Amino acid sequence: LPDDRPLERRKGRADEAANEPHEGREGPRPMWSGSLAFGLVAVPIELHSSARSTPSRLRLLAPDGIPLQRRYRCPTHDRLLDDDEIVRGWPIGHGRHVAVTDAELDALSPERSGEMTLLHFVEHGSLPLPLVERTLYMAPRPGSARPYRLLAVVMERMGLAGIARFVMRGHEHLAAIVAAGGLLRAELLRFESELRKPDDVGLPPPPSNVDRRWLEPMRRALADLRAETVDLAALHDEREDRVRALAEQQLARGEGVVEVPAEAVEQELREQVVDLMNVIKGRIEGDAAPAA
Amino acid sequence: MSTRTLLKTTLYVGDQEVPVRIFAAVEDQRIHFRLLHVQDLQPVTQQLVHPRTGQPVAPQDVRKGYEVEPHRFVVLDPDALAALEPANDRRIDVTQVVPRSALPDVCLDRPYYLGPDDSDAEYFALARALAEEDRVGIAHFTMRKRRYHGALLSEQGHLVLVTLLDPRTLVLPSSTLPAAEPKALDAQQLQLAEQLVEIMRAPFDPTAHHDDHRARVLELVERKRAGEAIPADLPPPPPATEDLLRALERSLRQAREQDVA
Repeated sequence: LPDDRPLERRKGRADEAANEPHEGREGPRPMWSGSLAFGLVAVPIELHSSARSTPSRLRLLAPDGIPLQRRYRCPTHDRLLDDDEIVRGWPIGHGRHVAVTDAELDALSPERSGEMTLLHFVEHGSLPLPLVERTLYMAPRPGSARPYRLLAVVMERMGLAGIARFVMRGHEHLAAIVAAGGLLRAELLRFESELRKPDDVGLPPPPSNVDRRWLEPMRRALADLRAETVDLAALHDEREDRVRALAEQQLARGEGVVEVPAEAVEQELREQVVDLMNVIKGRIEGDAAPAA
Repeated sequence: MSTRTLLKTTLYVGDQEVPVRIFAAVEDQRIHFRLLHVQDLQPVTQQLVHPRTGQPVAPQDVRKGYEVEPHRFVVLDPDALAALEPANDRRIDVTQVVPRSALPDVCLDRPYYLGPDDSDAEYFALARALAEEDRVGIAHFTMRKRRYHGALLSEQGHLVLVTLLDPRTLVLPSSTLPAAEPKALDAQQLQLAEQLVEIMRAPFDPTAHHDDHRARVLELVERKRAGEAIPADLPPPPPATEDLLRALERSLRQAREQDVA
């Protein structure tokens, strides 16, 4: 039986559409909107996805080349369902379920649903990187550029990150608020219980004294590879590049090319990328803007 | 309890070779709901269907295609696609050793433990040497027919490899943001904010935070089952602070009182 992971991913992608322009607002659609609490100072902010677009354009197709849709079916009614006919539920035995909505889950911890409280500040360097699950960018809402900048400057100067808890779309999150280059970001952290311990995976404990014969060659080998910047091109997804190259070769030969009518392609993310960084920049500079 | 090895491989750092095993470091503990049809609250099934006919397509008839331009697909030759799979060369190559600050955190994806295979001596020597460097390695490897890039870290004496996302799929922090210009800020506010942050300083303790979501969900389910109406309205978020200086002063006073208490 399907659980809610694919739906969450799809909903997540839609939210993250990031950078997709939408009606009635200026700038990209936020994933979360609320107030950052620093002592008694309330800073209205928004969180934005750092995802740019769907990573791959590789799709599953029908024999006639039309992209397939992943749809839900109700076995009792024997028909396909639209996403708005689906609810999340929890089994309570005897084949019965209780339906649960995001709004109900958010309302269970109202204090964390609209507010993100900075609980304390920690050395930024003391945050273990394996705990970082994903990064969201924080933008001041119109009118709150001043306290946003104040916090960003102070935290960056002191090399500290703020620890906060909040609820987003029915899920509890632990976050490290990090300041760099005048920009605040929320690094969503895994809870400690989600990360296995070395002992859990059967690793031997580190010895108190490492073997001297090996230490010196290892130090030398690492020192030889020192660099000050990361070669970002070396981090490209090779598979994506190879699949695209293969598709382009076939396209040049006219092999297997299918024109698909627009209405047959599911409304997927297109690369209508609004420059999120420019939007945030504008907000940060918008000191003089009146409160909305 | 030990976990299944995902891969036995060798870590190459310059002329040094360290045989290692890879283990998943993350355990999925999130709550996953069933998906139900809203009318009868019965679990739904999932199908791949043709968008025109709504008819399911048998797995053997499904093709893979690449959207080269909007609405123009190339149906890929399955053999040619399979030939793109990287050979498992059983090696992790470290190509750079960089300061942690050089690595964009936005790229961080999933952590894996590396454990020693055969000999512990080389493994722990590398973990120690990397910790001394206070830097991270940039590594490249093949796992489960896919190429990955990763950050090699030394975490409390063990080696950890965190896979990295393709930076092209991400919004990277811009260097053109208005620089954190303290001059443009009010000196008194700056001083008060620094004092407040200083008072709120603490060591990072990951064990202090627990996900109480599961307990709350089960509680919600019980209440709904008992027929209780669940309010789903949230109080409006607090209004933006108007007098920043005054709010900072009051926060500082309050924090000092709590600190003394």
